[in-house]
Amino acid sequence: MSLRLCGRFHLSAICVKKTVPHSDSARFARMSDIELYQMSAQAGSGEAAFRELYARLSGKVHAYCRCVAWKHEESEDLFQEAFVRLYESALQGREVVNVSGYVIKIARNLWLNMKRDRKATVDIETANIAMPELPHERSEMLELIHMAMNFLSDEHREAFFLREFADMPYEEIAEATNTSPGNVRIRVTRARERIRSILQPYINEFDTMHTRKNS
Amino acid sequence: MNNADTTADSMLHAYIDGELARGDEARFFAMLADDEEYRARLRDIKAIRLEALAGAALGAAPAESASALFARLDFAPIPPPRHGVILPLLSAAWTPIASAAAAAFITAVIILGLKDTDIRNVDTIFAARQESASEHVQQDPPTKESPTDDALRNSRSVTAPRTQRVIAVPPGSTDYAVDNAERHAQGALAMNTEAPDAGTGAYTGTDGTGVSTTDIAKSTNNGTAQVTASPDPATLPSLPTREGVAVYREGLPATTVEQHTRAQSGLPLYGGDTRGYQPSWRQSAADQGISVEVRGITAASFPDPTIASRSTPWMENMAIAAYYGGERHDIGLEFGQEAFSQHYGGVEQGKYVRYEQNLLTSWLLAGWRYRFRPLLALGGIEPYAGLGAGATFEGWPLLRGGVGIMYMPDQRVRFHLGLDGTIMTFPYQGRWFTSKRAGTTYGISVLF
Repeated sequence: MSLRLCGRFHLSAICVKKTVPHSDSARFARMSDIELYQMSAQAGSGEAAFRELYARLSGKVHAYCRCVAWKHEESEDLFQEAFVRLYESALQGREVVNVSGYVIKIARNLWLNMKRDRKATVDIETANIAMPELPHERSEMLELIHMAMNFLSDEHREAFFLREFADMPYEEIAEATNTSPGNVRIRVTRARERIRSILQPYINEFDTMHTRKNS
Repeated sequence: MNNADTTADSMLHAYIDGELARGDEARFFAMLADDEEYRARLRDIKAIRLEALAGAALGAAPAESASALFARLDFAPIPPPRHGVILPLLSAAWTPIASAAAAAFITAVIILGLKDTDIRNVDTIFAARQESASEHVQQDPPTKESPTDDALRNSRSVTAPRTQRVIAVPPGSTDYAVDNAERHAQGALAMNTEAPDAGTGAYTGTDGTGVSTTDIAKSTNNGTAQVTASPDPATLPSLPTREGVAVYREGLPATTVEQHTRAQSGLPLYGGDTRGYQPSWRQSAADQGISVEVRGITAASFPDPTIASRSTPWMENMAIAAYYGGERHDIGLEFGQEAFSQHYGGVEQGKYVRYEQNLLTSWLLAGWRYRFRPLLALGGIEPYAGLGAGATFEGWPLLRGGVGIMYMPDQRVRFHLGLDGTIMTFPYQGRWFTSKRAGTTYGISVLF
């Protein structure tokens, strides 16, 4: 009898998995980003809270990293490092008002550092052929938009991406990019007009396609 | 670019961002109406924005990124995605699968139970009894009006003039006379010529000797003789019964009533002219009257809600109904409240907006229900299947279907247990979305 108990205990100790109970998942799903960020520092449920936060923000941050750093390796490094920094900030108890904007800001700063360090070594050929690596399922028109973004300046491309792709409010973009909301509006406006002028030949077809899709 | 251009630009982009000031609306729309190029700019930029938003919604961080990140953070690894068909289905939709399995079970019970149980058993039992009785009773040939066995199989409520039925007494009934009187009171065994005071609940023999548990009671009513016999429990087989009332079968012709006594037949049978006789479950209020029902609903929502319903209703996931019952068909109205998980989306001011809500809504529907033959072998449990169609109070169409079983412990009370599926459709920006619920329902009816 005692042997069996011992064995069962031993077995259960081995089989413990750090998985999030379903009830926790449902509870986290109802929490705000700030609450999840704060909870990430807590022992026990912190990991699960951060996973939920990751699930919410990762798509946007990953797209941002791909937008600014076109090379796959660079965007992956950027993406992971941004979330590691976010987690460390949570552990340190750093106060954050807007988690989404904060992690974008981290990624942006990391990218600026990376770009600065890379300047000494990048060659012209690499810079010219660099193209964003897009998932296959994206539409042809979306690829054209990404290609048109190549012709924008870094600031305009970044502002355009954060506004049009990440759907961030101007104030958040301003905070993430260390500029004023008015400045962001100007950048976005100019970027939109520029991309429109580049894509003018495709627009009609694109518009027809979109109308058909919606109907 | 002059000031007018700047204003036009800012209004156009403010409109695309959903931030156009109310005071600028008139001027903006006037410009749109007048300037074709302005309209084209708006259309193009809006289209680019919509495509970008739609594309962003498609993009998610790849699983490898998450694995690498969590490894760096020393988190537990993400479980690999489940492959195959069975396991994902089971985990994602265990409720409908379980419901379908239960539905299949109930259907099998209905089909197999109705096919083989009660009628066959009764036939077997009474065949033996008839054989035994024939040794003691000289039977006249059945009258023309007597239903055949086939007719009996097809209808449990056959009534024919001058038809006599033989009543087998339920097991454990040691006081048949009293039991029978109670049946009178309930209108259960309404042997319409048996007692002049049928329905008063006070059956007494009219032969002057009174009725005891062992005597043969002989009575007259309107000149027709009836005979009762007390049961001998030892000789009673396990008959399928319902509501404590014996199974019956067409038996001897009415002309043999007076001969059919316990002494002659040796059987614990009841003989009597049963013209107009209806078994109790065909005479119950449920068959010809109104029933009021209250039922609870425990169901899973599809799509899966991630938010709770915020209201505090007094009858969430409940329904009340009033049904008018026929022989097998019930029709009625149901009113209920349930929380439907709604996922929908559309374009608003140039933005793709996706909504989720777990809306508690009230609904009203017209219902139809078919009650199958009671399964005597299962204590008289009555399977049913039903459909309902109606709308929520928001005006959204609703369709409901279900199967289940009913049990009547009493003539005026009926318990329900069943499986329920509901589909609700609702429009948003010209598109129709659906919300589904599937699960169990349980309740009680009071019959009037």
